[in-house]
Amino acid sequence: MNFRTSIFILFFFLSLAAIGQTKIIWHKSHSGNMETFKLALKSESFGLKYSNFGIATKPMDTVIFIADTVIIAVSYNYKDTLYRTKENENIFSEKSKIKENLINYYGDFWSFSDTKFIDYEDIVVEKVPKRKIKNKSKIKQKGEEEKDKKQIKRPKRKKEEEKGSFVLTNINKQKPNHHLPLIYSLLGLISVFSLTLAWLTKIFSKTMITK
Amino acid sequence: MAYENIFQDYDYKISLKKLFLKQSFWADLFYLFAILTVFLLPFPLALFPIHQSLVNLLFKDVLSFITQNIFQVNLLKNAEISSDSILLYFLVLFIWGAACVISIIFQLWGKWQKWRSKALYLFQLILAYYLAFQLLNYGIDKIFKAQFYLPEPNILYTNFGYLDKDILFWSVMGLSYPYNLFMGIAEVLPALLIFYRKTRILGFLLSFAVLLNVVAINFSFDISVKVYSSFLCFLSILLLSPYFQKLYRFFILKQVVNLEDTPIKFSFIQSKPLKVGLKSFTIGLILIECFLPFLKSLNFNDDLAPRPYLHGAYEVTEVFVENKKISINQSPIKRFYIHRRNFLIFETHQGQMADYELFINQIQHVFLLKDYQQNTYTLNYKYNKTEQTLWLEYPMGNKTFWLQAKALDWQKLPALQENFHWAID
Repeated sequence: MNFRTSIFILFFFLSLAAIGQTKIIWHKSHSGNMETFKLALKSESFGLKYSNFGIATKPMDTVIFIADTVIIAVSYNYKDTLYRTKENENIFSEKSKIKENLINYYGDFWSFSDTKFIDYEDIVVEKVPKRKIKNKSKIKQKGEEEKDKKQIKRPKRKKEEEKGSFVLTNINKQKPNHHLPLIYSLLGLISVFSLTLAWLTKIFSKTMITK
Repeated sequence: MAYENIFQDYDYKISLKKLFLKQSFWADLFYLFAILTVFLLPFPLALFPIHQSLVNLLFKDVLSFITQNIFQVNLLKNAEISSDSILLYFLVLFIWGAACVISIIFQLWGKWQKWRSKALYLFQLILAYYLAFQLLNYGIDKIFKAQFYLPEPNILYTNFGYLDKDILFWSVMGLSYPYNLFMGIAEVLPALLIFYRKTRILGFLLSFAVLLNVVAINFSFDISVKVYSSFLCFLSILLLSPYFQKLYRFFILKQVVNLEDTPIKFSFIQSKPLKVGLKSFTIGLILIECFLPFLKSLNFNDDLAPRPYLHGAYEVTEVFVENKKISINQSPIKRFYIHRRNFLIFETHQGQMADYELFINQIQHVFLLKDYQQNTYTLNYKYNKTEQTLWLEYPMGNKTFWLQAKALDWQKLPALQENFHWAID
């Protein structure tokens, strides 16, 4: 339970609803002032890009598994790296069960309903930004940093060694396909509803004409 | 100004000078400007996020170039087309220019008269649905407390007079859930009225009243949604414009008038079932777009959403320097706050605030801070959950302070209490 309670605070954030505000109000909400606002605008950090027009938007949240020994968690303003340790090695034990293990391990804090698993090939396609990788090692274990660097910086060369690697992404504005099951279900629902209404109108019109 | 006159008052043999005096030219211009803005304004959409990316792809670099090189306006490195940004003003200016050019071409183009009624009718239909969509969108955000959210502890403990008007307004609005419900319903209601043809004019009237209030608030409290709220208000006026004369006769001259649901009798689709099906599908799409963020998170009241680890306000109760306890007045910090969106805010005895982006490493018990100059700092912390006490390292100059802070019960603050009194005594 100790370890459970000490995993990423990020997992809390992933379950939070979007809040709507303007960029300036977002900045002022954490006591930022107009002098620092321009600095925040220039920066990719500080979450400003997710506020616009005072409407609720969903911030980008991503959790990336680079290798079987490391997880890089990236939120809109949170980045962290988790290395394999004795306490959490059961998470990494089997790729096929990784989702199940994560639910068992972190389920108290984070809903995985929105999570998508992507295989190693997608890491290459997605080109995980180096910026994110450079911000790693918030959680360091001795002797594993060098090993991890090699795995992260040269994914193509290490491809054969990293068959167990995958990327796990959560809600991502830049990936509209993320909520496809929900969106498809809703679209299906309104299609059926519209067709039913159209059919009822037709039936009703015919009845009226007959009368 | 009757709608019929706008469409029929047309003369091909006119000079450009005369053209600007024509009602039909201005009607074309306003409708074209509105329809182009609807399609080109990069409003964030949950169902079609590609729209925003596409608009940025098409216009961002071009507008940045024009703004900087022709108008000599300095832009920030990451300047983007967002609410009340310089690039948004230039985008609107560009759309207005484009609408002017297209309107002039249409006026001089003989065949336009043939298509004009149909085109303007279609524009009006699209604009009406767009206005309804945005009213619904903002209304639902208010109902679910996603727009005016509960103020953060750092705001609640800041002296009233130290806050700017915009954050102050936003925070005060966030204090009352019932008022958010009321405001939300006040926006949802005209949206629903606009969807139904027979109540559309009433919907336009109500939406104008609601949006005029929004514009007044945005300008009076310096809230940076001035351009967009003005556009929505303009839209409601534009959609009401065909009925001005009749409304004037009804409300002012007390005459009996017949408010037709549409000023021109025109229909693109003859089949009634098809029309009903298409309409319900469009409304369904709009509903999905509005509800999707909430269906994803299943959070329908942001006030009740769980707050993250250590979130809250902490008051420094004891201070140590090199294991020696010093007076609380010598502490560089009076309070500090942990914001729900990963920020740590320090408050000095003078009430000055300094905010940092925060990452909490709960394994090593460290706060990782980043300031606006991108400098990073690591502060050790210890947290006693039972006593609600947080120990925080605070380096300053050559000294390292250890601050012992007690969590404040910020939710018990008077501003957050649901007090209601029928009587004053």
